[in-house]
Amino acid sequence: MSEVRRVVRDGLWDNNVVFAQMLGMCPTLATTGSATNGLGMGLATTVVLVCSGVLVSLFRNVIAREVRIAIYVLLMSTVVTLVDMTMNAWLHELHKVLGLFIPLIVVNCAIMGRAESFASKRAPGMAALDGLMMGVGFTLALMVLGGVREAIGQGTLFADASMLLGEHFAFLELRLDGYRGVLLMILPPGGFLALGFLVAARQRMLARARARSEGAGAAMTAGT
Amino acid sequence: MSSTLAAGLRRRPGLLLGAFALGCSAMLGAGDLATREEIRQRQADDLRHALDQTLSAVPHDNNPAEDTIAVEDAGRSVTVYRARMAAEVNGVAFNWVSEAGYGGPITLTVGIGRDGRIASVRVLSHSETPGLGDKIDVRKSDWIRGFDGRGLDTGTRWGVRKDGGEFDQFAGATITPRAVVGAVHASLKFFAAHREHLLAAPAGAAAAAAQPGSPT
Amino acid sequence: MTTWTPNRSPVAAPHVHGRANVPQVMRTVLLALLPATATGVWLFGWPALNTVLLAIAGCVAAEAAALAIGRRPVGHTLADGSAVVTGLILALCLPPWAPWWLALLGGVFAIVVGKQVFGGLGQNVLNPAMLARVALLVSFPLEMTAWVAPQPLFSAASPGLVEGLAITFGGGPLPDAVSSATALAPLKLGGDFAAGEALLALALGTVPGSLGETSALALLAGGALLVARRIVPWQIPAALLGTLAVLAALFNQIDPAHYPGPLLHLLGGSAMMCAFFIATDPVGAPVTPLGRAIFGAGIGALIYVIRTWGGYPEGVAFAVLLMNAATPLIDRLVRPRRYGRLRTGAPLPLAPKEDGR
Repeated sequence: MSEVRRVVRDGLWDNNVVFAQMLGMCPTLATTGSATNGLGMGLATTVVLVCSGVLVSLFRNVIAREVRIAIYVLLMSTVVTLVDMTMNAWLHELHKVLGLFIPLIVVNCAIMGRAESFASKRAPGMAALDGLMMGVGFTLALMVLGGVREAIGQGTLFADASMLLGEHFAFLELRLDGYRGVLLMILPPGGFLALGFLVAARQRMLARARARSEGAGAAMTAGT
Repeated sequence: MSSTLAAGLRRRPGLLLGAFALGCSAMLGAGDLATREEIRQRQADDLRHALDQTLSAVPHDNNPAEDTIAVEDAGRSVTVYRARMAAEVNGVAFNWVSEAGYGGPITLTVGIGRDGRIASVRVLSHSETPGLGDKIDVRKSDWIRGFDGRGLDTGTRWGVRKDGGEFDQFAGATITPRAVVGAVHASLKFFAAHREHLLAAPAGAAAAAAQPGSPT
Repeated sequence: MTTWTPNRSPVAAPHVHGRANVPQVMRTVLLALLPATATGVWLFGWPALNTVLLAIAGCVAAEAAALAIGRRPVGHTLADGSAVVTGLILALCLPPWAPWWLALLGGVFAIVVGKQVFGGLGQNVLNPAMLARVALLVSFPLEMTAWVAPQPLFSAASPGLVEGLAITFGGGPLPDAVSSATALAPLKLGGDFAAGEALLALALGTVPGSLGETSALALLAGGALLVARRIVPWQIPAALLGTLAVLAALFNQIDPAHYPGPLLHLLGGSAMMCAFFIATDPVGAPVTPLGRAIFGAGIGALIYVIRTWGGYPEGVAFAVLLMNAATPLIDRLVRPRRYGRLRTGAPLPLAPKEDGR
């Protein structure tokens, strides 16, 4: 498997930030009351992941081991603050919803984790790809989580998506009329419940795949 | 960056850290410069939008967000935004905090017309029980619109039905609507008590009076 | 009967067997819940019976499904009756005229999230019925607080069998005429606290409230059976009700107008039910007598605090869950001294001092 494919697979599924690494739980649980919020948070985090990855990778030969963590923190908080200001200025509506959580991106361990374990050892291009894939994987996970909670919790999907993406995306907004919603799922405990069941479902899929491949392997050994 | 400089910095971590801190500060400064005006504009828009909603029933041609006056009442200072039509104050809007509801005080934005009737009431923030008390939010129910057009002189019985008033309580929640009705009533009394002062001040004086009140 | 005599040294098998097993315990608990269930059904009519059956059905079906998915023996585990007990306790906590989906959903939630995800009977950290009650209360506050005035079975006002089915399955909110406030409502709404005759009604259960929690006497009868049979340790109900009563009396002395006396707190709401049937669930409670007393007292204090100053009208479910979570800590705190060791775990000194006897 080529390295590019490896990086893509890692970010999206094998080593997914939320479902496999279980990192960044604070934004994951706090912002996934709806699919739109999950998408917004995921995109903002992706921008930070890519920028911080490229910066760390560019300076990887300059940064001395003793002060590397401090420098990573400096770079990340700078990027986060810039994203925060940019969103406040040009995506103001979304910023009102996510504003509280954007500064928290800086404590998302996934970003520090990628800087330390990947970007500090690779060329900027690869670091950017890794940041992008990790970010997209994170975004997808948040969207699924937010979608499940929103659908069960209030019977809508991508409510207010047009606020984030522009009027053209209003078709995304679904609403199930007559459904009252299980309020619990929108509230914080619902985040834990939904995440738990989604991780369990993923583990079951992995276990099944493993059993199948082992079964196939055994059959092949038996055949020869 | 020359490799000798890089190698030199590597050997002096303190200097390296300082260099990065300087670089990051420069980026933040540039970012702030680029976005400051836009953010200020957006926040002003937010306030203006909220006031326009509250005062939509009051015809006005000024920007109420820029025409404020601070009024002392019973120990609290209330910042009042005024809507004018041809320099005449046509209505006012202000935030009013209720007595405790079920989950704590409820903050309302109240708009009152020159005639002392409610132009609109909206809930700014509350911590009432989701699904029970949060029907005071206009996004959940139209209940809060029931105040529109009412005043101290309209013969309204100010209270929820359970207390002999004419406003509905919610199924399973009486305290929340009771607190909101009480707060709206109190805000009308506040307006009545300061009516002269609120409506009379001329535009020029208002601009001067706005100075101490505006930063809040 | 073999009498147990203290021994200084470990004894080889055979040991005395307590002869208690899970199905037997569960049967006794069901028997003890019978008076309260019967009173509830009598007071609130056929819809109450529907609620009981639906909650139990939800629990049993969810248990069977969860066991089947986990490829564990279904019949054997179902026969222990623990799902039925969970379902019945949940039903007794619900509003008697609850819509069908409320009871069913509660049952499924209790078993799946409260019990099976932890690994089944004995593995759960939190009380499944209370977990479901909190989930329902948070999700459907309107339905969960739709109390009806009692209309005894076969009385004129009581809905008939068909009417009862319509209430349970028909959907739609209760008409305002039948909905009413519980005995604890004055705590939040202000107003007069129950007077003398009302306290008698609380004891008998002829007041609006949860299906099986209104009649303190019926619960007390069942609880007495459980304590007598040693199925529940007496320390938990005693500490729970004692703490609640002491706190209520204390604040009542300070300001009778704002804080009702201990009788209203003990007889109203879910305190009785909690003391004997919910807090005593052995799975989530500490194992030593002192630990159980602390556990009970903690629940009693939390009930009082939540009822008096909290955002919800009844704090029993929250109190039980919070103390369930504290159980491992309590168990650590009151760990009994191991034989031959100090409480700290160090060996006893070789030559113990004379103790004067």
